[in-house]
Amino acid sequence: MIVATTVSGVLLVLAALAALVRVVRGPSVADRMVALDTLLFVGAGGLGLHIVATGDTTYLAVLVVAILTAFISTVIVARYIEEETKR
Amino acid sequence: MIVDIVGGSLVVVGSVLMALGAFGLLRFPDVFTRMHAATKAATVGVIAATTGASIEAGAVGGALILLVVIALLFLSGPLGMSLLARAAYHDPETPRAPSTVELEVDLPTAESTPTNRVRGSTPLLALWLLLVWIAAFGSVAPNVVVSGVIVAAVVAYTFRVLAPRWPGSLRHPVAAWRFVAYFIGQMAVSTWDVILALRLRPDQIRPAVLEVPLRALTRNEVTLLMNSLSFTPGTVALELHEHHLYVHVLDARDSDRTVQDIIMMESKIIAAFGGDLTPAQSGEHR
Repeated sequence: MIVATTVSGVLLVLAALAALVRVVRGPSVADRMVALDTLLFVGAGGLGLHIVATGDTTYLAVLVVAILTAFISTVIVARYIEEETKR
Repeated sequence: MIVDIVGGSLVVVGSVLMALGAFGLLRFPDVFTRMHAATKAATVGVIAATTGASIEAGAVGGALILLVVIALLFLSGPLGMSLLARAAYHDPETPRAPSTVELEVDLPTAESTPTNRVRGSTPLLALWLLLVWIAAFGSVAPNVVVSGVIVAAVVAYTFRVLAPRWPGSLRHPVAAWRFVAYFIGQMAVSTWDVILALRLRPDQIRPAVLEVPLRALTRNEVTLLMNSLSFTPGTVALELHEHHLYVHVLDARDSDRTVQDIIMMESKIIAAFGGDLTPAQSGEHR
């Protein structure tokens, strides 16, 4: 069990770093948005890992919030790009 | 004990998929191919991790959260990505992979089509809100349910213009299950395709935009199709224009197979929810 949680923890950290590199490097707004979405998903994965590792389910509902936030921010950024293009 | 093992392995699988998806963000050549990595590998990864966590939580809280999370991922995830892909595609400043096989015809520009709004069902919206409320509290205690009913009713009434319509009557339950099974299979294949594409050098990936004519579908069916397509092998739905669907595919060499897959998915949806191949009324589409 400890091996499994350590392995997933390391993988999630690597995933978060990869997404962060994409956020910084861009080049377009859409690139950064896709990377931020992935970062939020990785965060949700980390929360899942915490729940499985400790058995503490207090923050389970935060998963719903994380995924909803990802959707809403994607839609807002998509609208922003559309309006920018029209100009 | 067994719960720990199942939950733990699901979280490990989820982490592996998310790490691969994030690696795809770095490796794939442009924003559209990166979307393939994010919508497939990373989404399937987050589903696996959430399932693991919910198994650990058990009972009402866990099962409901899982239901809400999966519903959100399937309904809103592909929709958000499609909107973003469409906006990025119409933006001339978006860098495209030099190896992209361009579409011969021009993609119709995004225009705000006047949608004759069909009045949705406020109770359906309220029911969904109540479900999320109960999931968030993780209990069905009377005070939670009563306060949930009140909040859901007020919010659903205030935002009733946004209410969705009831999905078409489910006349073919067997066909619907067949669609679900096919969809899950396609999701696994598409995740695998993205993982395989990670081996390629960025200039070896040949993304393309395909145009696929659609049969007559109602608004709900088109939505379901476009949502499903974000998980089928190598596609992200870009634009829908007069019964033609434009999709971005990860690998142009598979384009024949991809078109076959889309038509197959469409047939399954029609078999499950439609059965009526007469052209939809012009207000019904979109």
